[in-house]
Amino acid sequence: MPNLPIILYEGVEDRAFLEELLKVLGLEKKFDFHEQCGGKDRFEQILKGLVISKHKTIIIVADNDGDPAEAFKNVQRQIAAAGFTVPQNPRETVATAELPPLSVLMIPWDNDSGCLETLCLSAVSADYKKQLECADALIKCAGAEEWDIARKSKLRMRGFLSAACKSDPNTGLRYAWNRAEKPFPLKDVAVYTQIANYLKSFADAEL
Amino acid sequence: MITSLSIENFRCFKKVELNDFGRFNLIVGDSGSGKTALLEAIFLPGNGAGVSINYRTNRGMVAHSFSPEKDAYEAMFSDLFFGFSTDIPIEIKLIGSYQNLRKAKISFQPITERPLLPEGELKGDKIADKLFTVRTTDADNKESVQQVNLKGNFNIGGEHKAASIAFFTSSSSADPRVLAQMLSDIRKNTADEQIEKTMHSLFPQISNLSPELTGGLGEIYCKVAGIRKKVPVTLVSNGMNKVLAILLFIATHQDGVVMVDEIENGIYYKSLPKMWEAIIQFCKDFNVQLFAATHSKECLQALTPFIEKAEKEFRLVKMEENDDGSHAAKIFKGANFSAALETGTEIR
Repeated sequence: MPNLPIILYEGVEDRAFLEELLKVLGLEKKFDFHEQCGGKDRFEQILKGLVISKHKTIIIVADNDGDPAEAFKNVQRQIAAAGFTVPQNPRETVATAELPPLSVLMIPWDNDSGCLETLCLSAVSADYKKQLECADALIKCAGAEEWDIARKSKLRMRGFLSAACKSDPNTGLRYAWNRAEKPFPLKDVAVYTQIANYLKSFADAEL
Repeated sequence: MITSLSIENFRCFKKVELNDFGRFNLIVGDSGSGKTALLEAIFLPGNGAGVSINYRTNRGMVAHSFSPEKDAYEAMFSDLFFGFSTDIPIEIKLIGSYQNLRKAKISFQPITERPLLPEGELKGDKIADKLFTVRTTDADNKESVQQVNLKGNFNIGGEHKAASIAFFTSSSSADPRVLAQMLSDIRKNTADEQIEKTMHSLFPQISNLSPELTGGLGEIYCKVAGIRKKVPVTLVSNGMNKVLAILLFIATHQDGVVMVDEIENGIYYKSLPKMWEAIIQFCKDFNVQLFAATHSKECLQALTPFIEKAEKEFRLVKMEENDDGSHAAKIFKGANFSAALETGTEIR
């Protein structure tokens, strides 16, 4: 929907997390999500298309993975190729003549390595500490200790969710917030405060 | 090719300047955003004659009877002027190839000879004192002036050559006699074979298109699978007839411009990709520039593979409304158009 900030994301899990966080903040109607995001290299094509739409702001949410500087550069390259002014740092909002302002949020945070799974696993509900320990054990016995942080986080998440979500051990992070077990509460959790404040700043700008 | 357009005080446009049109220009925007007005603006400098009446008819408006009464006379034309302000002239300028370098100025000009009115009729300031005047200028600066007198008669003078611009409006079907004449004309240079082949490929049930006279009036007939007698194409399907009409307009406006309002109307959605393929091929073969307005997502999506193959030839023209209520338009490049369609971005 035009005239709202639109969020571009890498995967459906990122969208599910952001939608849930916005709900907790009471801001779910203040943002729009692009419907056809998918992967860290699709931002350029989506941005080229968004040149035509009339969104108030464009927010790109991307993972830092194992190399935050390179991950941010990859987003910068795509922004430049689509004809937008390139932000020099995460969370900086830049303007381009006749185009919506644009900003980039890197997950877990500016220069921290990791991805959404890293972030969420750092704030697991106290009720699921034991399952988290099991997931850590899985990393060891699978010989994945040397994997990069993003891959390791995904394996850890896979093991954790299977152990924590008895209602559906096959569930993915995308559906984690719909499960009765609620392994990742978002309300008033310090880990998410920075991201919440960042998103709120765009919603406030709309008021 | 028309490359640029400037419009002042026409319809919903206070001042609009558009540059960098492509061969294929798709116009999108909300209802009432000015898509039809934009097409009317492009058509006007190339033709001009009868614009006041034709544009009312094309929009399905009532063509009032003319009256020498000032208010009634001006009302016939005032909707052409931005904000109905007839004091400020309309100016439209086309820039492009030689035959499309054109200007139009529409204004009310003082009446030099007062009409004789029967005694007891309107007097003084209630009588129209200005005539609706359309002044068009071609690339050689040759001018034509059209005026509509108080009885609604047109006085046209000058040397202005009409441009090769066709306008297929949304509310009117193409006149069957005109289409029959077009088919007859192109049969002389065998371009009808291309029409026949394309129409049969699009609609396999019809073949053998021919202009036929009935009672002296022409109409295009075709053979229909399973029917022994030839029948008018319009009787088979309005959609088929529309595609046929668009192809004929293109084939008979070589090196010119064809404009189609609400291009998707009447066309079955599964026929849209083939319709585009045919229109694009015809435009290339006859060196025709296309302006087409649409509301339809399916119609735009059907265009996606063709834009991807030739991004540089396509433009998206998006109509918008300014804060002051006037309307504007923006042109986007084929690469952005293509990306928006591919990523499902709402562009209408």
